[in-house]
Amino acid sequence: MAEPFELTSEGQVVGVLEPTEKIVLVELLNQLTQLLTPEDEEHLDPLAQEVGIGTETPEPTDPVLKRLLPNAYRFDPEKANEFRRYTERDLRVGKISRAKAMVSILRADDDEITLTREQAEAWAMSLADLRVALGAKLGLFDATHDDSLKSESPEQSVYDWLTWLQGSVIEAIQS
Amino acid sequence: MVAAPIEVVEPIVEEGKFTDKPWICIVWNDPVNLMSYVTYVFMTYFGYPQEKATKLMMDVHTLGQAVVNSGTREEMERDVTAMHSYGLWATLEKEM
Repeated sequence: MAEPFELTSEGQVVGVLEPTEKIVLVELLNQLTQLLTPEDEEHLDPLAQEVGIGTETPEPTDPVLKRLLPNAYRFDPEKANEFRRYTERDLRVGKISRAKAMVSILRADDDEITLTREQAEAWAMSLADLRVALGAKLGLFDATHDDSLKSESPEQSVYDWLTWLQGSVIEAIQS
Repeated sequence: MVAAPIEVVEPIVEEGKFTDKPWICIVWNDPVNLMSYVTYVFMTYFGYPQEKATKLMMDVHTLGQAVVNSGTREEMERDVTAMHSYGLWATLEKEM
């Protein structure tokens, strides 16, 4: 059984994950990385790429990406798109790099996972991204969503498990 | 933080509090992020004490949104980007 993360007296955050749980997490994180990797990488202006600025960067049409990369100006699409052009790439890169770092920790053989505080903080962020992504797939953001009609799909079980896991990491770093 | 439909409501700003700082960063409620996580983010990123961070989180949760900081447009753009890194839904706008 997985054991919740706890803060040790040495300031490390330690928990236990089952091998199958680690496999599920790695798979989800890889999917997240794939989704966040910009499609236009090879078509990008080399200078713009160097300074990290995208060219035309419209709001994503994918419902999951819309939630992961929201508009910064709620009521001003023009300002939102301009801001996105200058910042979206860095936001994607940051999320991808945290997801990849988490995968490399999860690839270790030991079921007991020992994190530094910084690593645990990055895990909490990646787990938030995973829950936002899965929550969007489950329709949790839809105005018509009814929480009392909770589905019993495998995705819902994974989502509930991620909720438990993120809660345990936050509790450990806040303790 | 709740499953209730998200309504568009004008942000609530305490009178006279941000008069010299024309831009505000607003965090909106969402049905996914944990209350403990939102409080943690407000404490960690903004450096707010637990009491203030918890109050802001509860405002987001119960009122649908909270003004979490104010400052120049550039500062608020930085805050909004940070909130997006944390997976929270934030926007900035010029204070009314």
